[in-house]
Amino acid sequence: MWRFLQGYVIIELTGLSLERFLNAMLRAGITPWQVERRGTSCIRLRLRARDFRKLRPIRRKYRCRVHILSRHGPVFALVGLWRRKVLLAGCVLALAAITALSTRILFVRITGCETMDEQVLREMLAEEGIVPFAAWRGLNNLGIATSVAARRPELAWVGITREGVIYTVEVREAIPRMEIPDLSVPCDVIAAKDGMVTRLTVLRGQARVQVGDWVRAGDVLISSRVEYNAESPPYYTHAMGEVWVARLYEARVKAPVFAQEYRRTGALKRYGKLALAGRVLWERQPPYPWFELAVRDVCRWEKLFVPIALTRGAYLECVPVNRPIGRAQQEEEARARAELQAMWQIPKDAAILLKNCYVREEEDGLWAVCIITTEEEIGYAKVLRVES
Amino acid sequence: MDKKKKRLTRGVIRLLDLPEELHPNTPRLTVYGRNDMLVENHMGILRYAANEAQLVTGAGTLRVTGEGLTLRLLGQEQVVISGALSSWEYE
Repeated sequence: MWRFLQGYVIIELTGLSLERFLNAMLRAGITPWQVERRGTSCIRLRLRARDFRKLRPIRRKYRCRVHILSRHGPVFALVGLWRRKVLLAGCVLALAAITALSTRILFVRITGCETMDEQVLREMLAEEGIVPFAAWRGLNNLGIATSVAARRPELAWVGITREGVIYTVEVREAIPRMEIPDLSVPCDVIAAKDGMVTRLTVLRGQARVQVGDWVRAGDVLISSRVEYNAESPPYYTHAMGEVWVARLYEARVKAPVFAQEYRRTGALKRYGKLALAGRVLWERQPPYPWFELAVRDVCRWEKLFVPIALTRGAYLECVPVNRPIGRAQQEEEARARAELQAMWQIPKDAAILLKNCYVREEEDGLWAVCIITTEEEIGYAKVLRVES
Repeated sequence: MDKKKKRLTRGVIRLLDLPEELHPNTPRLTVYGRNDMLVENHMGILRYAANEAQLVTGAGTLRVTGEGLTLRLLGQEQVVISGALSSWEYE
């Protein structure tokens, strides 16, 4: 390796007194290696590039012919490059550009923005100096993160990290504060959905329903009109409380008779993707309507000044094939689909109390039915009109 | 003068019971397996062919025979001979 870096040549010596030539080389301080006899009057050897010039007086003295077979090492590559001025200038310019750009921010990535507008955050970061092509040296990431988080109440935490020329801004949004109701405005708590009352908590107002009652959407659950007894006059207040009801979600799915599979045809085409700093610059589009993607290898250069990832693989062509399936598999498939359909209907904040899935045979085939019982809070405040 | 100096050095080495290899002109041969031989303190190459190499040493001419012999390293004081070595002898 060291010899390669220094540069060496492979030469062939032709003459009659080659041993004397070798001894003369040793006396001149030239140390060849990999000396091989190639014939009665020919020897092949390697020597350092800078020793080659020392051969001239010896060559004359012993009347040997020296023929260079090949040159190795970066020295010779540079000599070749020196002749190509434009290429050399391009290399120097590229190096200068890389050096100059490595002191700048090239990419600003923002993660964690769900409700907040990303553009607003970008503008705030730009005010603090985090903007593409700005110098990253001298920026106090911790200070900027603290300042940005303090300026916007919807941000709970902001973290800023730099990797090379990439700035990553990680955001955690604050949980929105509950609005404090104006208690002087009388309002009722109304049912938003149908269901059977399972739990009831009244904070203000008078309950109009009790546990076990069936309520419909729009029914008054907690009234703002409070009556202590028949003698004292009623008064109106801002009704508050929580009313939980049990609700049913049902889904029916017919069992499939066939299962669709995708079989490979054997045809394939190359796949490739080039990503620069996490952004896909180029990706070969799928040539088939149905395909499998087999990724063969991913070359990552993460430590480069701009991370590069090159993915290679193949698109394997497939065709859809209907395969008849047995009863047990039909039932299993239908049950899974029905459960999935029922689950899709359930809101995020609902708690599942009971799940019942069964399959029954009807005239037109097998049907899976999935009934899910949930518990949900359905009350919302409705401002009472003064005249009412 | 030179011979006297050599004789004196050898005499001192023997007198002090020092190892013989301390003598600057004593060749030292190291054989690694059957394929490599390191010769130190040689004085030059007398003959080199693919099946034979003759080196001049302080103890006489060292003749190494074998097949496909190459001088893997050729320095002023040491030579590494590689190949299928079969014998070596002093002439």
